[in-house]
Amino acid sequence: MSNFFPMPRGDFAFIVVLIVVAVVSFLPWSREAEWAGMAMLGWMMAGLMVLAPVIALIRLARSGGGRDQETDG
Amino acid sequence: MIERVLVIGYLVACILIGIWVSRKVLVSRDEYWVAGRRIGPWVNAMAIMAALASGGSILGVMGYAYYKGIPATMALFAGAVLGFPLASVLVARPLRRFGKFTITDFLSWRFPHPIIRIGVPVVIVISFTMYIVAQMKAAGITANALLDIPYDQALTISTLVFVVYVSVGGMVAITWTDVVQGILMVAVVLGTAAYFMVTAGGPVEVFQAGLEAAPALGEAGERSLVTDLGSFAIWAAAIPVIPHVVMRVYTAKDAHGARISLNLAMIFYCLIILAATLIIVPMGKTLFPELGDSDQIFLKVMDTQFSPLISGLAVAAVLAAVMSTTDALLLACSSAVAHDLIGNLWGEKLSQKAIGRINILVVWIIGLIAMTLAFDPPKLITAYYTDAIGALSAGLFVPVVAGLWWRRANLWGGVAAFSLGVLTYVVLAFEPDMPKRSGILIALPVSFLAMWIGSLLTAPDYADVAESVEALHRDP
Repeated sequence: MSNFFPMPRGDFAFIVVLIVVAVVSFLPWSREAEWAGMAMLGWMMAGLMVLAPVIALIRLARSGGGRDQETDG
Repeated sequence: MIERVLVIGYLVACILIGIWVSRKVLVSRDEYWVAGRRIGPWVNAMAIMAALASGGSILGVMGYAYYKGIPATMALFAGAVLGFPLASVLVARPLRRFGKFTITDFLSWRFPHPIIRIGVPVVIVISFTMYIVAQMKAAGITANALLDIPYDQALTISTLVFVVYVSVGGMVAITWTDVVQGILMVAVVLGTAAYFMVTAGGPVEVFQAGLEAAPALGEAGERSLVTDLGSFAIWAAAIPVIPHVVMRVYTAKDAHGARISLNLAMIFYCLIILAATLIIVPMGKTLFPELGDSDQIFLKVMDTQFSPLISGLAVAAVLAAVMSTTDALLLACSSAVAHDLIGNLWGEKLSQKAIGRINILVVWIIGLIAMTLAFDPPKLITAYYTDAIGALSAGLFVPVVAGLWWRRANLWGGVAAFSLGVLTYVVLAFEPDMPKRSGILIALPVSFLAMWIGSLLTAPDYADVAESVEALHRDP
């Protein structure tokens, strides 16, 4: 038995992708490189802000909430 | 005159809502703290957005961007936005299934020790009182700048309004006033940005004009790397555990509704942040390149560029932002004291009516303490409350996530992770040589290590604890 409770593979992959994008955004290149007058850090963060909740909602809509039904403890 | 009528009408409406629902909610803990667990995803999303989009997000985001530049601001607020998908995946489903009232309920159940039962609500109350102070400054400078009311008087009036309606209305009142406040905030910020885009010929023109007036607005200085990363980490780790957001998970009809509302809320929230930083701040920098108090940039823009009617709406929107966050914070503080501390320690001996009265008393005490502190306001709203929230992130993130997902997490791991996380963060926050908000980058790993070592070096929890946690992950 694993030491961790099982997480849906898609959820796990989603978190890993978010963390990787965040890490890449904070590497030194993103502070030096600029586009349209603003450091890439700003654009990467703006992209993360838009895409993270949108992708999460798409994934939720596809899953249909099967695992999330009410079971108050 | 018209601004005052709009604002007074709005504040009176909020109090009336609080009084109207008070008879119903004061008779039940479920009604008072989690609105009967029947809030739908769209309403809940707007309420979450309004609770998070504080005076900090309306005035503070623009003040921070004006002072520190757009990339640093994006880094700070993107942390919060990233925190919502993390909350949706890591905590929403199991915590909604757990089905109690507060984050302390879960931690005290998972790690039943006095350090957790007492320490967690104490950290919540201290952090949130600082958070409320920042909101009070936003209310005070707004009324001062646009209504010509002296700062101290504006602060006193706002505090009284917030406290009255939170203390009588509980979560139901907060949810419905938050929805109105959320809509008002989105409309005013997006409307202002749209107006500037139309008059300047497009978003690119506004943005470029701002960068030409002040190129530093687009730069990410080398010196601030760890501060930006720290700000990002504080908010990403805070959202999954921050009490006034977690309480919203419990108000949802079910776990799926909770997850949808968290992510919908973030879309509204990020629209506000992007419109503010990419359009309104560059316009503000063009108009007012040398402003003394950065937090006033939005107020200056509204006061000079729009009619009294629109300015009045802006005042109402900022007060809405302040109010919707302050009410949620006050409610979370009152639940930390009345429910987590007093209720859990002496709950069986106290009647529901007595707990209700304690609850109201706590809201008044914390409101008045915050008001007193806000008479000497912090320089930069966003920086001030982010510092305070860091203590919560440092202490709660690891125990909550490990407590939900790691079978081996046990009592001593949880106690060590909470204590050392908070302690490390607080000590580093007062270390003058540390870059601001960078302490979280050490405190979180310390908390992880404490959880890991503490759990592995001591005996596992009883089998029934592991079985109960497993039930939170089991498909129905």
